Amino acid sequence: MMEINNEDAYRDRVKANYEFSSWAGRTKEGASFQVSNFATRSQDLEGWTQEQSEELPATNRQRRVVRYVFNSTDKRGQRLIVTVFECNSVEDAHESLIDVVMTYMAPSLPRCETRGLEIGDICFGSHGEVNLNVIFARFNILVEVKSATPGPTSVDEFARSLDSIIYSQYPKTR
Amino acid sequence: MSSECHTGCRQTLFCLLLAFLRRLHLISKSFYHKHCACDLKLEAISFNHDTSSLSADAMNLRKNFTQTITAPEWTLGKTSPTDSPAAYAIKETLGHKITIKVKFSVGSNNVTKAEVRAKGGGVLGALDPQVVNFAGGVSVPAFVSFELRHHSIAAGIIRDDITWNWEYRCCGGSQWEPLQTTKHRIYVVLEEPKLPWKQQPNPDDQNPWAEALDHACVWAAGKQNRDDAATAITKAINANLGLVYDNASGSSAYTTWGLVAMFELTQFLAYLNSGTGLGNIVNCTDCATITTTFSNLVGCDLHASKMGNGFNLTPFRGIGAAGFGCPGFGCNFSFHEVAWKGGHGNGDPLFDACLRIDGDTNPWSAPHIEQFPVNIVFSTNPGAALPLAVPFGAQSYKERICTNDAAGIGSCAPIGPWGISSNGRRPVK
Repeated sequence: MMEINNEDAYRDRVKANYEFSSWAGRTKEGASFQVSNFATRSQDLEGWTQEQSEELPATNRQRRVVRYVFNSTDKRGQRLIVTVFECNSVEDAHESLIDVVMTYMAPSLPRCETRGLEIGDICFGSHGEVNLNVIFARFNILVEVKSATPGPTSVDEFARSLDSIIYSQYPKTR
Repeated sequence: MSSECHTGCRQTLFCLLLAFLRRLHLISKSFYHKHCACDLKLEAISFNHDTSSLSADAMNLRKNFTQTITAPEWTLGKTSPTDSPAAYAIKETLGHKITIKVKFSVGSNNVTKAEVRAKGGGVLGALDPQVVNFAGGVSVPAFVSFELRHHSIAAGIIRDDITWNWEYRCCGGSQWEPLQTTKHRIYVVLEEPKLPWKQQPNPDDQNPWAEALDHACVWAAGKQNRDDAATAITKAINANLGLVYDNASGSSAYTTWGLVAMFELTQFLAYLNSGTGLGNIVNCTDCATITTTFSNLVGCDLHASKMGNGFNLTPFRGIGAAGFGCPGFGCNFSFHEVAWKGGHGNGDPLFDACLRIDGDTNPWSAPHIEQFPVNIVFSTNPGAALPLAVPFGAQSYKERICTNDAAGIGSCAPIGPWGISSNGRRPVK
């Protein structure tokens, strides 16, 4: 077996692919602000019902990880798997983003801004005509939204709503 | 029923006479029962009566992550086979006397003996007649051993819903009387399930799950060795479950990446059973983990292991895809993960349920003749100069998934399992 069993080296390669150094540790505003005990509820997301939620094991970078399954209430019948990582800091949220995309088989993902979606402090969409998956960080919260439904239905609308809920916790009077 | 239970030659002759009269319809069934039968009840059947061993009885089993199964697996009132499951391992039981243990009761304290047998039994076979002793209305010992003398466990992997039609005779009765019909779901696997599955401790949430065996034993039905079983399971995952590749990003649906990575088997079973769970969009990690977990459940010894990092792809047919091509994110994998045998080296065979490769003598161009990558060596000649010559006839995985150049074949090498993946055998939850 070739001696390349070094996940640190792989991590560095992934960071380079995602130009990590250009956005790591930076927020659009509220650099020191942290969201605590974040939870999403169906009533916060119009047009969606929460089918299930489950707390998942967290890593040392994270305080709490919760996976939700949402169903759209309209005729699309869209089903989304949403994982919310409440991290210890902005830096940990961004490192957690790398933790997640390291497990993707795609070598890199396009920035959301290039696909008409401006959410989070940093956001990556997916390949293809529409975003079927989105991963973004806002403050110390990392969110992964994935479509679990076959077909070309974008997850942008849901991701935008969820980002608004996170952002709404930031006090504008600061 | 009679409170007296006579025995001896005179009683036997008397009952023979009553049986004759009964056949002639000269006496009623209840009259015969009153004098030549007893009020016998089958109370319980224990398949896994020794939780420290699986060579002479069934193995330790649980229903799913949260629900345990304990002996006796069958008790009076259970009517569905799935309520009374048991699993046997071919390798460990071979050459051993296998027994079940059965508890009886009888309505009269005067009954001291009865003869019991069971017809049917599917893979476990019929049970030969056996004398059961009673004291104080209960069998002695409480659970009586019945040897499975007519089982066909060695015939291969199976999920079999069996029915035993129990019969008895007592108090000198010459005719077999119906006692009880019992139904059981029996699983047969090749050998003791391998990690992540455990036999000990018991109970433990990593003991084999009956709800997973429900699928694995059907996918690998009839197989008698590990390679054939893993091949059948890989093909079933690739072709029969409605799974499709995540062309958007190649992300995993059924892996939880905490400090220890877990396989979301409960969710995956929900997908298999009702189409829900976490959906049908998967990546290579999912396919490798599903293959490993279900194959190891029937006795294979695979582990999910990676190759890479970063290599270019020749067209393949991804899981759920209509034809050959590249993933939606391009002709490149950051890594790839498969179910691997041995030490995941160049010469070790692997099973890949995530895609089908081009199996002809030119895997780098059309036409693409699809082949399931099952039990195929990773690379037969890893140090060969590139590009490789055509025709290429080797049954060699790497060369059939990568481009024929330094960025493809030259950049793809065995890496090993993820560091947090429990050596590629992710625990189930």
